[in-house]
Amino acid sequence: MNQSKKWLAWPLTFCLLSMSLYTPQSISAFSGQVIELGAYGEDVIELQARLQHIGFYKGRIDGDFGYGTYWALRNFQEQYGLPIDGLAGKDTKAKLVSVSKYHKEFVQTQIKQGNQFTHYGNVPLDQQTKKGTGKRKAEQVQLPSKYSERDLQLMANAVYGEARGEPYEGQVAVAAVILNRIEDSEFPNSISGVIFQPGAFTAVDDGQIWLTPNARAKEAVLDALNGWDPTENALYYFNPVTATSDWIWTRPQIKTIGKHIFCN
Amino acid sequence: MKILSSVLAIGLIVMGVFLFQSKQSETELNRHLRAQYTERMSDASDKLGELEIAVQKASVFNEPSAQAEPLEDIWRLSSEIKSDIATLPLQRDFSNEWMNYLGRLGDFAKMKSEQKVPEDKWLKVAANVSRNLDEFSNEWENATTDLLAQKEPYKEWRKQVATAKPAENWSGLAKNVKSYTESDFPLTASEADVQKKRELKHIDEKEITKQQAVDQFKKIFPQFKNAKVVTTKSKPGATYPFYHVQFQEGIRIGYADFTVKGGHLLSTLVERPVSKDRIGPEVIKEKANQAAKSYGFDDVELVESRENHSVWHVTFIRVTPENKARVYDDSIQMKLAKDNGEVLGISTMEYIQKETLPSQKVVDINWSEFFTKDVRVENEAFAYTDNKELQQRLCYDLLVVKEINNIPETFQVLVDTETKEVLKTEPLS
Repeated sequence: MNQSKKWLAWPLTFCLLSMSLYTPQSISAFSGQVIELGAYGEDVIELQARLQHIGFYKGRIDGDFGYGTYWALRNFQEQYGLPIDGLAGKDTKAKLVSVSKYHKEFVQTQIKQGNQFTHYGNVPLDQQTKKGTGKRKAEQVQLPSKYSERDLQLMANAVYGEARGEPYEGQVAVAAVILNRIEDSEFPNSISGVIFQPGAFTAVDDGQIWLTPNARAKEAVLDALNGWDPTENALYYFNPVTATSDWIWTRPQIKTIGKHIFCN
Repeated sequence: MKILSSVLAIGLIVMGVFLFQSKQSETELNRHLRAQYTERMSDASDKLGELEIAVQKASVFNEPSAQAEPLEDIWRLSSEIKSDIATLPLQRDFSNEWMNYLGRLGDFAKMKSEQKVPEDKWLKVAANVSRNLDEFSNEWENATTDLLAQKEPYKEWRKQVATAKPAENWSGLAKNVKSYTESDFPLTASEADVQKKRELKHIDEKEITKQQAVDQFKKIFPQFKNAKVVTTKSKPGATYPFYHVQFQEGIRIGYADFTVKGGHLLSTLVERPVSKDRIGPEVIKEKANQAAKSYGFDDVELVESRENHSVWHVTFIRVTPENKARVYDDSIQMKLAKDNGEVLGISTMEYIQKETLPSQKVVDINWSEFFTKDVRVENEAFAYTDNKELQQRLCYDLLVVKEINNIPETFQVLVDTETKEVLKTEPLS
């Protein structure tokens, strides 16, 4: 091989090597699932970040596919001649990847650190972040619109403190009693009002309400908030072995779940 | 020996100090409690007086603008006294009845301020309430003064909360308030209807046996045909009789409740571990729709789905065949596992109550005049929902968007098709 061929071989090898190492931005960044209203998770974070990068999405990048994300996605679909359905399917994701950037590490770091941030194109990333609480959102849940995550947390504390040894059905039942009381005109009309009504729950009196609830208690509360009521409209419950109140025995009884009797 | 005596003496001193401090803390805590309860009780007493005056004032004026302030006061004070009562450890029957009374009084004043109560009816109720409040505030004054005079009233209150036979002052107050409630605020026809629906009074089918309930369970859920099953009938205190079927098969454990009349499914929940595998939302929706059809719910539409940690919660709403209107109060909730779309729960309690729907005029409404200019209506359909008097009304069901600080905020708005009254405005996140 003469000298000129050697000089030609080097750039050629370099190009081939670069091509082999280069991974084109593709929809493989997203999972293969269609993303739509009501979803949450990493796919939604990427969707929101990419839509924000090209100016369609102005809300918070939080991984919850709500109406803000929905309208942004529809506008994107309209502008790029895609079917306007508000669903991030294969074609929509492919188009989005081809016209936007996603700085995954930057976005994930800000979320983990609980910072306030945006992800617009043409703005340096370090100018798009503000120090936040330092805490990541505890967990992602999609609640019926009339309830908040604080409601979920408070009820989970009460359910765990009152019924952690009970079957799952029994835990949903305790949460349902709290919600039934709110609907009843004879009780306070807020979750905290019902839980902290004096003498209403043993766990409040003995401090067990402040134990950290587990995932099962939270799931039980989530089911109750979504409409399940295994008690069939009970307003009270008690453990017949440990009950100290005579009054509770005067209530009309409905059913027994685990160690608790539920009554009207 | 000397050393031993010294150690013992030191030990006794330490224990003495510890006990003394504990006692001090307890006394301090009790003092705080007493102060807090006394404050709440006095506050409730003062507000009771103000409420009585507000009721009297509101029956003096005929002019709506002059009536507005006392009506607002009644609504506010009844709510504040209600929250005072809720924080006091009073005998339960009494506090429940009293909160009910105050709640109804507040609602009634609110309705009057919205011109939904005829003047003559309001004057009659106001006169009764005023007389009853006067009588009641005297009794309340006596009962609370007695309590506050005791050395440790909170202990007495606690005892009262737990007892089946309360002291005469509380049981007397409870009875009186109950009779005030019944005379001042009898249930309206629509409230009575709602009550009947909740008690499933409209279900008038043949009663099924315990074995038929189990058969029904295995027919609806064939995957549990070999499950171990324990079935019990509801206790006599239940507002409607039902069978409670508890089952277990392999890693799955759960329950299903069926009405005794007609054997309708009320609700079911299945607990099992959910793996890390995930299927897409479109598959979840398809499975939910298939499941609804297989259970015989063929007049419903899937309107909402929410992804959670290991499951999806979806909501179906009954749709009327005539005008395709959604009946929001006839809903079904379903819970599906994220790993394979298995149905892990159904709640049909609202669906089987089947609302009675009125025939109603539909007047055209110009939305560009109805809303501010920067609001756009994205979707318009028909739906039924209840108004404040608990009557079902046909509504325009609108999805509207308003840009606030450059961010589109979405609302669901339900507008009565006949009266144009806005029955619901809910922000959708």
